[in-house]
Amino acid sequence: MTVGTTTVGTVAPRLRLALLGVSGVTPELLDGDAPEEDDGALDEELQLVDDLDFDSVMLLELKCQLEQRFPELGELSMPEILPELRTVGSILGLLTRRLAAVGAV
Amino acid sequence: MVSPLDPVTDPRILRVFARPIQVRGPDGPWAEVREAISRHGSALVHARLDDWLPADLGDPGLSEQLGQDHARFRRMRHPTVKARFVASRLMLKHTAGAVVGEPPGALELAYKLGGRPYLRGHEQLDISLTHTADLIVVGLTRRGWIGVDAELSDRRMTGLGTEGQMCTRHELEELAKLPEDARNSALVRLWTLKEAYSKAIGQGMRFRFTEFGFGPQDRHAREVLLPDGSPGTGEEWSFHTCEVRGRYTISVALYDAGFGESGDGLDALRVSGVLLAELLTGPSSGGRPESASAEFTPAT
Repeated sequence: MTVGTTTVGTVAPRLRLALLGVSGVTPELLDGDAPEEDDGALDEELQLVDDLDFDSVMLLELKCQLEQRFPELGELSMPEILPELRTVGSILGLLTRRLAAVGAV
Repeated sequence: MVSPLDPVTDPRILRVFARPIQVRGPDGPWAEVREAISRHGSALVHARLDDWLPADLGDPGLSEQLGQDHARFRRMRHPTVKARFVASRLMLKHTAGAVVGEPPGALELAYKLGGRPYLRGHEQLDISLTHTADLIVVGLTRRGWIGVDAELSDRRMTGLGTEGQMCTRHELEELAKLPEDARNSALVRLWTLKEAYSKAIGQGMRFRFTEFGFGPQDRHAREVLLPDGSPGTGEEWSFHTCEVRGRYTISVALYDAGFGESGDGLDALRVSGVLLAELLTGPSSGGRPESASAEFTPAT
């Protein structure tokens, strides 16, 4: 069930690892009935709350996971990134913009 | 039926909160909820998810009951999320309807920026909603603003690498003094208090949870503490934490704006500008937000 995939370098595979590092997020939740794409692409329309059952503790876990998987971005500010922690696609957009800003894409 | 909870011993807390009331479906007991609002200006109501779950999630009648929420409900893919979503909305509408004296279907549940629910046309009754596992909790007040949060008491929170994002340095120091087997439950309590406070303020996770806190070892939180442990709020705030059904920790934060039960004066600030600036931007920036009205809470 992949709708609107991304192949922005290694961003999607690293985001996949970050999401799977959050308690309760499983490959089945991320991929639905479809097998994982070879390039680690993600369903960008997945909603964190409505589709992946995220709550506020899980959002904090995700922030920590993103900082681990994307160390070139440094410490992330929750108030700054929170508006983008809505869908997989909005997070990919956030990461891509920030990586470009630090010259990492 | 009043649930068997540990008694509220602080007379000031007793003044603003009734004991949590369990409602078992559309039959209530609503008289207890109305009595709590009448006597205390506030009510804390909880329910089992199964007691509010429709037999058929595909029932066309849900469209009318959910109103504008039905579109979001239809888009949801996660079956557990769908079940909690519909059950929590039905419980919230029935509870609020019992308080304002209107049929649940006549109430319109709307959302502020960031997801905080309110009742359109009944803004004088502030509401807050939380759910986790098979528990739904609704807080209602005519005094000012209310925030509620609930977690499984044994939810793992230590060892996730997130403590540094959740706690002030004072809280971390105090948590370190606790026996190891008591730290997780203390952190769960702290987290629910912080969530409840930030929801009542109307900011949700937009707040820096490292910039305000509570006393990890206090049985009853009395005030919000600044990062160094010094007091950050006055007596207008009340907090309460309790356990229900032996497995859930619930916290509630209530700001008494001095409205009594009139519900007037909702344009007043919920938090001082200086504290709000620190909570939003950190102590070093000196930035001051233009408004305290925006909020970013994970949609419930």
